[in-house]
Amino acid sequence: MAKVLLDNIETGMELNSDVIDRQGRVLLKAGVILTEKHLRIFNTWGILEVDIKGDISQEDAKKEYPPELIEEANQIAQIHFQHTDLNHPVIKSLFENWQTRYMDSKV
Amino acid sequence: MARSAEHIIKSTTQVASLPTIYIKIDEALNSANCSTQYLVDILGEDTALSARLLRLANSAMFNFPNKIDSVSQAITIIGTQQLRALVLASSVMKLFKDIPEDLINMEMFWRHSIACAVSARVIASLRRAANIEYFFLAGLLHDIGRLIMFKEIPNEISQALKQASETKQLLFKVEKELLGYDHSKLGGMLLKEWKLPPQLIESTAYHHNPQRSSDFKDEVAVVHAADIIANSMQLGSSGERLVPTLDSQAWQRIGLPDAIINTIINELQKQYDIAVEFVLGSDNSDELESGAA
Repeated sequence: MAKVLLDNIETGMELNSDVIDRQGRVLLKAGVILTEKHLRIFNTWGILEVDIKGDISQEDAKKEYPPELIEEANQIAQIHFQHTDLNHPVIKSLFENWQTRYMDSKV
Repeated sequence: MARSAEHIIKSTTQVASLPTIYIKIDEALNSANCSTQYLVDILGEDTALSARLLRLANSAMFNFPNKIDSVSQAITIIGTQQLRALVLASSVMKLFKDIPEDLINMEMFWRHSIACAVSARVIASLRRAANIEYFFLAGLLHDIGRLIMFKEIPNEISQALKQASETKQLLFKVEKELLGYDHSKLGGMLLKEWKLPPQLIESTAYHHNPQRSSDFKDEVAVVHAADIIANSMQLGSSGERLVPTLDSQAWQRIGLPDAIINTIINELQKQYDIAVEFVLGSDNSDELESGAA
């Protein structure tokens, strides 16, 4: 099972648990195989992520960077983010995004 | 002896009152029966602004097939909510345009404000909030207190910038340490003097301390997070060089899944350049200014 953001959901995926909207209403039952129509419904009802059966990796294949560059990006990012809690998932994503953009600008 | 925040706001409002053109446009847009012609008449007082609207409506951003040659058509295309943001932004920009370059690069300042504005609007739309353009305005204005500092107490803020950079402290904390108040307090006070809507006042006053908000906790939390996203991505800068601390309770209050941050980053990157063009105009704006008045 995996929580998958709407952006990454494809038709044919199977729901692992019920999809519930903000008011607690059940929109779709666990076990449903998703179709285009369901994706449109999620959009309309403001569903941002759903629980999908199986092991789905949300990360694209990581690009290969030279180890020195990774180290350099990490050191500068550590300074930039020194007043934040790097264990917070949101900060972690921002940190990784900063690192990737820094490395992409150098290669 | 440092000047008090109250004293600074008093002298700021004496020279920098909110332009009547914004007050009129805001009143007109808030009234139930406002005709486009009435908006055109108000905008007619500011030929440069009318010219910008025309240029904007004809820009690639709106991609309209025919040439737009009247301000009323331009308003229809741009939309009344965006018109409010544009008039406010251009009014505030005019008030604070003579700040010396060695203190702050104004383009970089506005770029940071725009990045925060776009992030706030993206978060608000993901939360299905009403009035998402207000979040854009809130982002544009959140650091206005810095502009007051650059204008009124240039020596003190320049010392704060130096100290923050040497000690790697967050700038708003150094401001507080040196002066007893920070830019968010000044900004909130100015917007209050200007009688702007309370959610704009609170999101400016508490964007570094979201827990202190009383009536608009959601709005403040959104601007708080948006500011951190804008700083972390280094899109422009209002003087701060480091990423401020995220208040995890404020993020929780926003109520979006953690992984949504990647969607926010992607949307911000998609919308940022367009928003910069919208608020700041293109580089060659001055030479076009005379043609459409």
